[in-house]
Amino acid sequence: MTLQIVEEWVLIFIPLFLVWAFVVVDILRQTGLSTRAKWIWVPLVTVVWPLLIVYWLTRPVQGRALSLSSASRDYPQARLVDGALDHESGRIDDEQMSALEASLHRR
Amino acid sequence: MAEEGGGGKKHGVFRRMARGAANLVYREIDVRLPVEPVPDGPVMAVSNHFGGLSDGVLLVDASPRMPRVVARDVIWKVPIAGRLATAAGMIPVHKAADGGSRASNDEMFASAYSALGDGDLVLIFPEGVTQDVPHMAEVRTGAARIVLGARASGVEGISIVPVGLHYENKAGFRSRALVNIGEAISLDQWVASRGEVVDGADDREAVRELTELVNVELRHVAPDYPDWDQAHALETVSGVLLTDVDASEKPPMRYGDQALLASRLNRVAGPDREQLVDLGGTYRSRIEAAQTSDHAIATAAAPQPRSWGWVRDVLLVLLMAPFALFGLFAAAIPLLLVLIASKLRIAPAVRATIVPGLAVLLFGVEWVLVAIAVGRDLGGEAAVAAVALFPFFVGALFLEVEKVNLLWNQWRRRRRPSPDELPELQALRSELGEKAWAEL
Repeated sequence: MTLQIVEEWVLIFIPLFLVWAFVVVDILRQTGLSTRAKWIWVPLVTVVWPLLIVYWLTRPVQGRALSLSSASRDYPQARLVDGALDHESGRIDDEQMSALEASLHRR
Repeated sequence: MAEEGGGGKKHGVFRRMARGAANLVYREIDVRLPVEPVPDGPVMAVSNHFGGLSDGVLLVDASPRMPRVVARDVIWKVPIAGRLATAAGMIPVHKAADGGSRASNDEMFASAYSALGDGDLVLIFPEGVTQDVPHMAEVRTGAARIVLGARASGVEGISIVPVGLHYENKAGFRSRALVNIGEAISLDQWVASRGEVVDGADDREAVRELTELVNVELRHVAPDYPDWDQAHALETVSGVLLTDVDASEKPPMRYGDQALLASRLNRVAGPDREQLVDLGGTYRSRIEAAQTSDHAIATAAAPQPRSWGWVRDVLLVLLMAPFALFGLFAAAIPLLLVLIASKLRIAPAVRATIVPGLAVLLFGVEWVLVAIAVGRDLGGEAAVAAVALFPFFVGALFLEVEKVNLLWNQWRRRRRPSPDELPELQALRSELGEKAWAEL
């Protein structure tokens, strides 16, 4: 009996809760849904869990390029890469590149 | 740029399929955007063709709009694939090697003109064939002839966008990839700057000049190394620079950053490039011989503060273990077959077509079979739960394997060389680093 309860929790309830949480976060972070649609979807998938599948099959799918934000490349290694490419294309000059290297290069 | 170009909402299913396939086959996909956003309106995207079907999956997944892909007509000779290609708005090109003729390609040109006239994104692989070497084949004239012909037929505002696809292991399962989108070329501006009247697709001189421009811009964003040894040597140099910037355990070095910086170093001119390749190749082979890592050499003199991020990873591995185990149980057969396919002794470009195709097919079939089996034994509601939970269990399995692999690699790369070897490796690394930093 106890084993059956553990099995149910491990195989059904906890995974379903995690999938629900994942979907709710996805709904709230969606840029392709209006605020009104988000307010409709969150209670729907909470009350009627099979609608998790319906949401997932009908959710807006943007091109990966569209989902990028400027913050996605705001870390030191990306700053070096972007700086090196900008320097090559002439968008930043030698002085700016040297300043960038000095700020990043910790040897 | 419109969310759903190239045929509107009906292509949503293909975007979903591409997203599902990309997330299934790759564990990390980086997209580098151009500095200037790609303009709205008609776009001719040109891409290197290293990975067969993988190229199409990555490009459809990354693209802001559903592309109209120009592809060899052999696809239409396969019954189901042909129907899918037509439904996805693909445009068949008839090659002489496949029995094509000039007349049959007039239809392809007309379809491409019409797509550009509708403001769509048309995608072409101008090499015409997939490559198993780390450099592009000769760029052919198709892209130039299409855009010049479309412009002559009255389509204005066409942009040409080069897109470089880089693979860590193009035939591997759960590997990493980079989609490098270059700066758009305005066809109208190019024609105006040329100063001569352009006579459409039949203007041979204009086609030749535009093809050369496409060739230069595409090679700038795509991998273009003379051979694999040089590619690996410059990736090693790139890794040294990135480790110099951040040698911490977290976040791990992203493949996209390493590939972009290696490509930049590949464009260093003359003997300086050769010197970088020599130093990178020597350093790489010395590290392998000493069974150590660049990270261990870099941090030997100045140890990094101890990171406790691994504790979080270990906890996550333990927590996800039951779900991952069930994922292994549910998806063992498709996983095994896909892993076998990724190791087949056939051309890597062919494997790069087989692996994503097989992965989508087998995992999809298994998903349906699991739902049917659960429904038969436990009823309809359980079947619906199985549909919802199958991707969760498979995702937990992938997460588990990749976290364990990450932890193993973090432990391995701490292994330092013997005290006899260390000074020499440090000196070599220092020389390599000085040279590479000077070339940026």
